[in-house]
Amino acid sequence: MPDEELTTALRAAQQGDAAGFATLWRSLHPNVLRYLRVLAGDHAEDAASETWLHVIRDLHRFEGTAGEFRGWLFRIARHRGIDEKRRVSRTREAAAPPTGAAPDAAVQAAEDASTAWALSMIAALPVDQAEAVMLRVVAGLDVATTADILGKKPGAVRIATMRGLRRLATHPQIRTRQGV
Amino acid sequence: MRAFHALQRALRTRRHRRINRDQADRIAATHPPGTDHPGLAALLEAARAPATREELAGEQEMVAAFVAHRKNAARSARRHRTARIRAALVPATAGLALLILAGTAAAARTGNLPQEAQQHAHRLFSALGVPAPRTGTPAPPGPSRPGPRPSTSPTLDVTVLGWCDAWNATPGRTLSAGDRRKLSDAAGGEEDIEKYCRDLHRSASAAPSPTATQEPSTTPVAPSTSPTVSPRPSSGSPSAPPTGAAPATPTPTATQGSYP
Repeated sequence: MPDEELTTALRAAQQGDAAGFATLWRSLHPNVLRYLRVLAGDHAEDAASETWLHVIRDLHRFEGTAGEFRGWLFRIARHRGIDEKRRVSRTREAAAPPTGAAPDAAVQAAEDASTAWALSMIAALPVDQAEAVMLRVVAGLDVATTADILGKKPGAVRIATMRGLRRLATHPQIRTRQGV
Repeated sequence: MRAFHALQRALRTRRHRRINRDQADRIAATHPPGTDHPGLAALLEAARAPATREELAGEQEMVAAFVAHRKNAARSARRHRTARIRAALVPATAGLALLILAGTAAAARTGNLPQEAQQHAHRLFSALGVPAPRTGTPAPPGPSRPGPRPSTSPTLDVTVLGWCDAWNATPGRTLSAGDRRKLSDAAGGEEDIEKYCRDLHRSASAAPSPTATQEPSTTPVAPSTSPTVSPRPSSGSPSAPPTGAAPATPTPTATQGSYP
């Protein structure tokens, strides 16, 4: 969705318009959820809900463009994802660690499965590379915003993105799976 | 040697195919990664694919949460506004009330209130610990009060009684010059002040007004009693009877026998 439309929806939502908020959610939630799948695995859904509840609570205080809103949203998502992972690992210490692939991937339709497969591949990267690839490539954030969210220097973000993409490009499973 | 060249060529090709930082930036900026890396391109396209139905399943729920929060926020904002107004109004009202009360007390103390109000104020504030005016300036004897009041007036002049008290305590000291002049005017001369005050006190105690009993009288009320009224015989006093110091001395009751 172009930023102008997103800004309109953002302003409407800030005025309390439910339709504006719905537009915002529809256009941004999928990428938030995908980023959280990479970051928090099975807890992505919970973390995404927490993220949006946080947004709802603080939306009236937000000042900025749609691009800045995107950055704000993913920063909240990152914190909620890390929180959720920590909380669950505390309460379920004995449980088996979550596998890279989402468990419900098998029951999803073919196109969903390819997305799930792609996310599981990215999730297998070192976490800083995985986050950089998700925020830069999937969420479409610029280097400065990504660096701000990850608490890194822009140069470090560029390198992490490059290394992540390189590693993915040379992954045997990815090289053989052309034209998914 | 040929094998070495082949290896070099292979390495160069490989290095050429490796993604560098600029390429990574281009890939990130949604440019297709090119034909060099078809596997990566496919993967990224899959990761960026349009939203699935599952991913959008929670819309109703989240919009409902949004609406509910807005309602709550509006309600609490209203509550906050009311609380703010109340928070501002209560101190203002209290301050105003305090100001009025303090002003009235000050006016009562200096004796600037009208006669009726003055008496009421004294009754009220003496209970709160504000003393009756002693050195204050009374309302000047204006046209409403022609000349000094006769001492036999049934309505007690509290202000003049206050002057009398001050005069009796330390003659010519506590009273301000203006009040002293007014008192001596009322008595008809400075030497007559004592008698004037005595008469005034007598009429005050005779009057049914409740203020009469409230005024602390330091002068003897009944003129028939001895000039030095000692309600209790002190042990060192030479006037005390030497034998059998009876607690109830047969002295004439000076103040209606109110003490034990």
